[in-house]
Amino acid sequence: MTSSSGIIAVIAAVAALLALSYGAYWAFEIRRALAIRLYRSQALGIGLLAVSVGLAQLYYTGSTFYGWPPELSFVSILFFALALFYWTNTSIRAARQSDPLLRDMFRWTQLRQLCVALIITAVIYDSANILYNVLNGYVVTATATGFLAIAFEIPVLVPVVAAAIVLPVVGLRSKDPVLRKHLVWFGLFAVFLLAFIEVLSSAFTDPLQTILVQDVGLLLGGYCLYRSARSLAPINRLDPIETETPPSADVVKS
Amino acid sequence: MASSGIPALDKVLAGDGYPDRSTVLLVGPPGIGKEALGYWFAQSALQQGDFCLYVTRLSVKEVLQDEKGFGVDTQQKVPLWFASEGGQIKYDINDLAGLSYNIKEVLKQNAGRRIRVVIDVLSSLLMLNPPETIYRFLTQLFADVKQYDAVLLATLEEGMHQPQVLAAMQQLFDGVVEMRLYEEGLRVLPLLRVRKMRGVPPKPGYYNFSFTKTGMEVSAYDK
Repeated sequence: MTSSSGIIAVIAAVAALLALSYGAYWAFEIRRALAIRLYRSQALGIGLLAVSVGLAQLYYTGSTFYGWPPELSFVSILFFALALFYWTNTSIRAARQSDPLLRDMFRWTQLRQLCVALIITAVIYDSANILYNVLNGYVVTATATGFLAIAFEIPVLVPVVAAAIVLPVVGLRSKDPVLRKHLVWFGLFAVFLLAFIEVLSSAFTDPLQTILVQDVGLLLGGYCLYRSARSLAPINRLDPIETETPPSADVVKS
Repeated sequence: MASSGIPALDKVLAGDGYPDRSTVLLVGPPGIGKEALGYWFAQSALQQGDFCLYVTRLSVKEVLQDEKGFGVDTQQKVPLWFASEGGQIKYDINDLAGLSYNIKEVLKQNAGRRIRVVIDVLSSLLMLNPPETIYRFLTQLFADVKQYDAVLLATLEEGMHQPQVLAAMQQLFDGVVEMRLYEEGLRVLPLLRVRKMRGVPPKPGYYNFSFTKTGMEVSAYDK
């Protein structure tokens, strides 16, 4: 692996991270402006998700070109999975709030408890396993098999499956155009992520090409995530005529 | 005048709060804190010994939890809850006639007292019924509000309804207060403005607002 390939790959990964961070920035700005905890959490979730995807890609690039320890890739993927679950949970609860009949779709209030239990158990098991291997000087490989493989997948699989199954239904049934728009843009982000990271990049054998294709997907997906973040709530433009007329109210604290 | 429960907002509105025998609409996106204005309005009314009717699509438990987050406590002096769960009167969103009848009956029973009504069901009703049906329902409700010297505060979600529906709703109410998110460069600002208020000269301009543990801060927006 030439050092120039590594530098190019890292620059591309940083660019993808920056693109995703821009979407995260808007999500955090909207979060700051809102007052109700549920909607603030939803904005926080999408922001964390954007950052986690960028960091996971950056770490993957670093481990491919610079041999960063694979144990930590578990942490970066776990961060993504937890952010995805957090956002999925808050989005489903926000959808319930906007439903005139306040329906608890898929009995989510109960189902999420099962999901949380599964994720926590798997995370504890995986962390203990990795720690055991590291302390005993065993090499942790990315290609675990059998029960270990299933245990490693659970923290990621549960949020991904929950999001993939529940959210499209939530989006279709919701009568709230704001939430639907938010979910549609997120769906496009997921499509780009799947298409470029899972499908297109596997057509290349050269690691640099693979990573560059993934980063292109992340840049395109980053735009969708930015639009998704901006769709969390309607953002208006100030009326210039009214802003020119300063009102006479004093600052008063109640 | 009926105090909003927030002195800073009272100053912005008409000096002392919402005009008597008026219907006021709070418009804003979900999560911006419209409901908090309803909580303070209800709390202020109860503290003054007024009668307060709170119509909500949520359960009373959910509203009380939400109130706590804003430092409001209506557990000592309780409004008459018209809620989906836990209220003195059961609220069924599919029974618009029942809703109208029950509100009228409550107002009639409390005639002679100062009455305050808070309603957070308007967006839900608009989602389930044709707008014309809701306009008729509101016209009847507003007539009752005026007959019994009440002040009504209703919330409406921004972004959930067609612009023409929103415009028609704003036309129906005596006062409209907007709480919206605005873009200023790379910042998102929550700003408030009084679109109209019956009997009060138009007051142009935006106001910054933020929620604190004890209330709400309102200050003139300076670009």
